[in-house]
Formats: sequence, structure tokens, C-alpha cells
Amino acid sequence: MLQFPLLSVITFLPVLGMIVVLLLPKKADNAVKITTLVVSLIQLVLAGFMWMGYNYGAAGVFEAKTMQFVEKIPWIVFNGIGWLGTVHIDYYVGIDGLSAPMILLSAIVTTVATLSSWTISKSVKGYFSLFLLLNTGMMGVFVSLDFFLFYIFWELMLLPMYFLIGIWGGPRKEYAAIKFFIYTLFGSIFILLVMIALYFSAKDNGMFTFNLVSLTNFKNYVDGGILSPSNVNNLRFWAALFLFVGFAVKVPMFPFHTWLPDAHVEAPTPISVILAGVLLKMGGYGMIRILYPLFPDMVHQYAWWIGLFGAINIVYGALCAMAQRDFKKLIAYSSISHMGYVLLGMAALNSTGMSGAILQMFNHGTITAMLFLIVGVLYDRTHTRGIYEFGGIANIMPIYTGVTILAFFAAIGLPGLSGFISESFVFLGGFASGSIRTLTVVSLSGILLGAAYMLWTMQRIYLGQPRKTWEGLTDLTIREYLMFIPLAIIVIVLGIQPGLLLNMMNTSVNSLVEFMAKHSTIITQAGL
Amino acid sequence: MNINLLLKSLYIVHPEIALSVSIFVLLAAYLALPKSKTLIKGLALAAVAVTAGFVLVNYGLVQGLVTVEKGNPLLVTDPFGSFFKIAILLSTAIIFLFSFDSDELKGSENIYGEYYILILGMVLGMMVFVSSTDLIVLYLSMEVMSLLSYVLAGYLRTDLRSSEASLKYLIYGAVASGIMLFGISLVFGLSGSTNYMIIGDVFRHGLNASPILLVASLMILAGFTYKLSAVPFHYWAPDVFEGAPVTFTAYLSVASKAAALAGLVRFLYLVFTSGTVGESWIVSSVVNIKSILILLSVVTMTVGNFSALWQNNLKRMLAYSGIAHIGYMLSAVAILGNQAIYATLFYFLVYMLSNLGAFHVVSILKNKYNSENLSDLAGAGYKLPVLGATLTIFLVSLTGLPPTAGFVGKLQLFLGLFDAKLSYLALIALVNTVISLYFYMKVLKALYFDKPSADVEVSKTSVTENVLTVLLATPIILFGVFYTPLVEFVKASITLFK
Repeated sequence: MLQFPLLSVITFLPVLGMIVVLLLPKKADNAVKITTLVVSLIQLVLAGFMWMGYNYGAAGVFEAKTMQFVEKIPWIVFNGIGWLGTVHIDYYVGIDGLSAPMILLSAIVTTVATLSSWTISKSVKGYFSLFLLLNTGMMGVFVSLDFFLFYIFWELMLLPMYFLIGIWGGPRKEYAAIKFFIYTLFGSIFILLVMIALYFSAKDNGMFTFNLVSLTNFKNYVDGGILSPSNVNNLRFWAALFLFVGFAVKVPMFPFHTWLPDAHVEAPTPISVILAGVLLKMGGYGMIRILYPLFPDMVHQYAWWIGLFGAINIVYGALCAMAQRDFKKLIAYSSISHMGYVLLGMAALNSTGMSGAILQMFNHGTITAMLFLIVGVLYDRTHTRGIYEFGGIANIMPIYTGVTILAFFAAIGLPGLSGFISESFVFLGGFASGSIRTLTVVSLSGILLGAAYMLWTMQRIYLGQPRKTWEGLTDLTIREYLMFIPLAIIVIVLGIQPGLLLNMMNTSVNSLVEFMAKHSTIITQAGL
Repeated sequence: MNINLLLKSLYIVHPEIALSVSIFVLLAAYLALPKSKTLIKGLALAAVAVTAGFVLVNYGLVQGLVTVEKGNPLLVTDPFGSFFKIAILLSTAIIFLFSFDSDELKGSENIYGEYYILILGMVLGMMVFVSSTDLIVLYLSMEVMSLLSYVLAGYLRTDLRSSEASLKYLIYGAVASGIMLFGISLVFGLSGSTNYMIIGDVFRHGLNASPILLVASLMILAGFTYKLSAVPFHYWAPDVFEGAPVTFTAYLSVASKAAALAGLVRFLYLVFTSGTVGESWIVSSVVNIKSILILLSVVTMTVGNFSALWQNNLKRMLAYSGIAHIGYMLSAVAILGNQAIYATLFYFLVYMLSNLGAFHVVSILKNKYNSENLSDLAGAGYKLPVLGATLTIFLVSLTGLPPTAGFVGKLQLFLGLFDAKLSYLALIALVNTVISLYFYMKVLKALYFDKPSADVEVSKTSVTENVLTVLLATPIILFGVFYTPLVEFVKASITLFK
């Protein structure tokens, strides 16, 4: 069957764009920017096609035949030596209800970030080439169904990010960049270890495999494989823990979160937007895509711990946010708090909680993108982010303040806006699941704390008497309108009609939850 | 010995003969026409090409281990050896190309041809070293390459650091080879022979419980670790790497390590394994080669990486990074067996390509800035964009991140370690990888993040320089994404171990 390779085009189009950008003459700054914008707009359109062509009834997750837009081409094939047998790695991409929302999110956030990058003036060519490379890495992670491919894309994002923070960042950019790099690479090596161990555990068609769909079928696991469920040793526990830690660094989960505030504060605005909007989602996505279906027994046993760390993230992140005097750092900590909801929802292990978690990832992506853009708008004009240096901005920039109010209330979880839906789903799921009910109750305080720091920030920056220093600040420009309007529309529409996204993930989430329940006890090969 | 048999098996040493003849031709040409640099350059490259041709013929002809006669040969040829000879010759050719442009070497105008002649002599030593199956031949060929490399390290006569490097290298080398020679004499005393096959037979048949065997094998290993610049005989490397001309430093970091690695694997395989099956270490109550190698590997990679963290001089940093990489490779050597040797060879090839590339960029930077210190190279990435971008690729590959060949090399290594139930070793190596990230990225930080202190005028890179670096960087990316051809090549080269 010959079909349009939609996912490959979405993934590799930025690389093509990067080559074009590199070939453009040195002074052609505008051409570079326009090329990047065109690439992200085409991606957006293609993501739209994907949405229209998406089959809402197909589950995916652990069923290869219900994956959609699949492309599977033999990639690395050779007869091995000795034990290795035949090595067969496929270029295997496809989507289901878990990844489709993430691809939409990436396409939207990248387009907005491109618009926000318009003010970049230092080595424009370099910036946009790296930006496009980063884009490929992000899309690649979400479409990969092969662990090897997934890992390559996962690591591909690190280097561009290192440069984007390190070259175009703020005063402590070197420190922030290397800290980001070392933390995330440290997480990655845990993932790599588990990836290799998994490779020696299961066979597909008589060959060891990295195929994530085959790996969810426990009949494929060989006797005596390192991570075979029939093993009585506790290696599966360690593997699950390693994977969890590897992804948790990216979430970022307490106590691995310390790179995030540094990276956010130093990164330029568009990179903060990408970081919060897309990169943080990869941790949660990785857990749902890999940790959950591959280690259902371990996840079931230790779900409470995932919930616990979620609750810690929510409360601790919110408390830290409240203590900040730097606007951007405050938003960074609020990100940590909001990603806690994702962990909590996932720990619920029921459809409501899991849908809430995925929806929360999407909503956090759009809302936090707005929040960072809001910081960026203010910083561009005043070159400071100290919360106490402002006051009365509402009188000077009324439209901007209106947008801010929308974003703040969405972040707090005001009914009618998207944040409310996902947070309430998470809490509903948490209550319904007996084991994490207490944790859910504790986490509810996060809502209160969230309202507290958001409203207090509102008061300190936007309300009160306008200061003399900031008189004459201009309100939003047309480019800034273009950044905010799509995000604002999404926040409002998803608040009123969350079904648009929930329907998309519903089938997949349900079957994942069923799958998890079915395999919750220790699986033996005889038992299957 | 039967003369017919000897003539029939002469093809085993065809490459070495061709190389020797070429060296004499080059020498004669240099004496006759000392001013004609183009001729010297051409002849030097031709010598490498002709030798490589003969090696390739042998590579295609020979399956498995071939010896002069059934029995106890001094020299052998097999795809395994040819693989390393190809690696050595390839790096020699690349180094010659680097050297043509080197400003450092131009300083010594009146001695021009010597450089190439000395390097080719070293190549001869290394090729014999790779093929030898006798401790005496091994020792002699090691001395050939060592003596010539002492001279080459001190090639910049007017540069104090270069002379210092040469002297340090000589002293360390003399001590190490003395220790090795003592070890050889002990082994001779134990087994009555210097031939690998006979020694191996003796050990396999039970004569392996003497404590002297432990002493002797440690002493011989000392010689190898010195050539590999592995801990505890690594101290010479940073000083020599820093002082020697950068082109020769690059050469030391790949070619002599290639020879040492091949010699080590061949020695261990023929002497300390159970023979016919050839997959497991000899069981001895006094010597546990596997544990020794694992220990060496862990210490070497850790010491290499930690020492590299503090370096400001690029050549010193790359010296330590090379030590760390030898540590990774030793971890696979410790497993032996097909898969591990395959991983070692694969890893070495990738390391060689990445390291040569990195050194090439360093040598051009040295030409432009007359310094290899990170603090002097601030902002170089903007002034020399091609160099900056390619150096990034080389360093990322040395770190071992996708989508570069370095990642694939590490992956093969870890697969081998996991298969041998040494996953803890894989974990140690992975943590080391994270540590190494810091100093590799420190280079990129200097090149891109730091502000240049003063306005240094830097000339643009020439087209040839750009083309050569890009050519070196291309396989790194290519093999990182699609590495089947490399696998096939390496796989065909380990027939010795079947």
C-alpha cells in the first residue's frame, strides 16, 4: 500500500528547512525567518490533516494493526556474529491516541515559538538552524514506535537545546546550558540501559527487537531473558525504576527538577516556550508510551509512589513559585507544580485520571507557552523581570493585561478554561482510585496555592498605581497578537468543548487502562 | 626450513616488503632532490597507497589465520591483522594530508622529508607488531615504532616543549619496555619458548599455577598498557601529546593505539584462552586475566575522564579523552569472544575517525591562533564556522550521542557487555560518558559561548581545509544513521575468532 508518508514529512521537513537556511546568504535574516515560519506552518497544516484523517475508534498502544499513519521500513539489517543473530531494526513510526495530541501540541507551540523568535538578532542563521533541528527531534520522539529510533530522536534534542540556551540565553547561560545537558543526559543513560536490557528480553519473529509494540506482548519474551516476566529476580523492578527516573528528569519531577528553573530563566523567550510547551511533555509521554505498557506489573505495584511524587511536585512547586521575586522563575516553578498533576493523574491508573494527565500535558503546553510569552513581552520592553519592580501595568498596557488575566486564570483552573477540565479530571481519577485518595486530597491544596501565587503576582505587577518608569510602554504589536490569539482560542475552546481532544485519546486510553489491569499481577508465561 | 614453503608463504609479508621498498625509494628521492617537496609528498602518499593495496589483496585472499608453516610462526596474516593495518594506513594517509598544511612543521624548513620517512618507518614497526606471534618479534617491532616516535615527538627542535615531550616519552618508554622484556624472559623461563602457540599450549596443559606466571603476565601487560596509554602507564600521554607537533599527536592517538590494541588482543587470545573453541579465558589459579582487564578498564576510563575535566589545553584534554576511550575498549577486550572483539574493533574504528577529525580541527586552529588553549580560542566558532560545526560533530561522536557513529560504537560495546552479564560495567561506562560530556562541551562553550578577549585577526579557512574536515565529518554522521556497511566490514575482520 503506497500512501503519503505524513509522519515522516512532519518529522523531517525541518531538516530540509535547516539545509535551506544554511544555504541562504549570511545577511538574509528575513529569508531565514520566513523559511522557518513556512516550515512550521506546513507542519501545522499537516498536523491538521492528521487530525482530520484520524480514526477515533482505533486503539493503538499495544496493537500494531490499529496504529495509524504507520510507516515501517527495514532500516538496519545484518546477520550478526555469534549470539547476536540477525539484527533487524525498523524505521517504525505511527500514532495512536497517546501521541496524536502531542503532535498537535508540538506543531502549535513550534509555530508560536517561531513567531516569538522574530526578535532574535544574534547569528540568526545559527539560531534558526538549531531551532529546526530541535523541531525534528521533538516530532520524532512523538511518532517513533521503535525504542532505538525513539532514543535517537530523544538525544537529538539535547545538543540544539544546549546551544540555544548557551548562546542566546541570559547572563548565566553557560551554567544553565551545561546543567540542562548533564541532567538530561544522566536521565538518558538510565533509559539506554533499560533499552539494551529489553533488547535481550524479547524476540519478534525469532529476532531480538526494539519494537515497542512487540515488547508489550509478553508472549514475545524469551525464557531467561533479562527482563522476562518469568524471571523470579527483581530486575524488572530495577528496570522500571530506571525508566521512571530517566523520564522523571525530563518531567521534571522532584528531586530532579533543579535544572528547570535555571534553564527557563536563562533561555530566550521562544526557547522557554518550547521547553515548557513541548520538552517537558516528553517525560510524561515517555512514561505512558514505554514505562506503562512495558512494565504494567511494576507500575501497578508502585503507582502510589508515582502519585506521591506527583503530590510533592504540586505542593512543593507551588510553594517555591510563591517565594520567587523573578517573574520567569515563578512561571518555571508553576510549571513544576502543574506537571505534578500529570504524574498524579497517571498514578490513578483509571481512564479518567489518565485522560486528565494527557489533557493536562496538552493544556499545560498551551497555557505555559502563553505565560512565558507574557513574561517575554514585558521583558522585551523593560529588560527586567523583577516582580517588585512593576506595578500598575494594567493602566499602561490594557490589552496585554487582558491576555495575561486569561492565561493566569487558565493556569489557576477557572471553570470555562482548559486548565479546569484537565485538573478536575485528574482529581476525579485520583478520588476514584482508592490507593491515592489521600494524596489527591493533599494535592488539592495545590489549587489554592496556585490561585494564591498567581493572583498575588497579578496584584504586584499589573494592579496598583502605575510607576513613572514604565510610562509609555507600548501595547501588543501585531506579531504578538498573532502569537497570543491562537493559544487563547485553544484555551477557551478546550475549556468549553474538551471533547475535541478527549475523543481523540479516549479509545487508546481505555485500552491502555484495560491492558494495565489485565497485566497487573505478576505475569508468567504459562498464565498467558 | 623448506625454501619452497618459504617462497610460497612470502605473500604474508608482501605489504611489509612493499613498504620497506617504498621507504628506500622515498629516501633516495629525498637525497637526490631535497628541494622538491611535491615529489616527497607524492611519494609518501604513494607508499601508503601501495602498501594498502597489498594489505587489501591479503585481506581478500585470506580467510582465517594463515601462518608460514603449520607450527610455530613468527608472523601471520589474517583479516583481523589486516583490519588494523588498514586502520593504521588510513590514519597515516590522513595524517600526511594534515601535515602538508601544518604551519608548525614548516618551521623546520631544512628538514622536510625526514618527517615522512620516520612516520613510514613507524608504520613498518606497527604492521609487524600487529602480525607478530612471537614475543621477540613483538618486542623488536615495538622498539622500532617506539624509537621512531621518540624522535618524532621531538621533531620541533627549537620548541622546548617538544624536546621535553621527546625526553619524557623516551624515559617512560624505556622503563615500560624494560619491564616488558623482563616479563618476556620470565615467560620464556616458564614455557621454554617465546612463541605464542607453544606458550599457549604449555599453559593450557596445566603449567599455569606458578605465581611467577602472574608476575610475568602483569609485566607483559605493562608494556601493552604503556603503548595503549592505559592506567597505570598513562602518565606520558598528556605531556607528550601537549609537546609534540599536533599532527604527530593525532597520529599517536590513533595509529600506535591501533597497533597496541591488535597486539594485545592477539597475545591474550593465543596465550591465555582455552584454544580451539577460543571463547573463554584459560582457567588458572593464579592469573585471572579477565578481572585484571576489567579493573584496568574501569580505572582507565575513570582516571581519563576525571583528569580531562580540568584541562585547558585542547591537546592535553584529547590525550586524557583518548585514555578514557581505551578504557571503554578494554572493557570489551575483557570479555573476549566474537561479539566483544567485534565491538572493540567497531568502537576503535569510530574512535579513530572522530579523533582524527577532532585533531585536524585542532591543528588548523593552532595554525590560525598559534595556541591550543581554550581560553585563547574564545569565539572561534563564529570566525571559522565550518571548523566549529565539524568540531561539534567530532566531539559529540566522542561523547557518544546519537545521531553520530560514536553512539553506535558505544551501543555495540554495551550490547556486548550486557550479553556477557557485565551490566554493572556498562553502568560504570555510561556514568563515565556523562562525566565526559562536561569537558567535551567545555570546548564548545569556549568556541561559541565565550567572548573573545581581544580582537584577534584570524584568516579564513582555505577550501582544502574545509573540504578535508567535512569529508572527515561525513562518515561520522552517515555511520551514525546507517551503520550496516561498517558492521559488515568489521564482521568480516574477526574471522580469527571463529
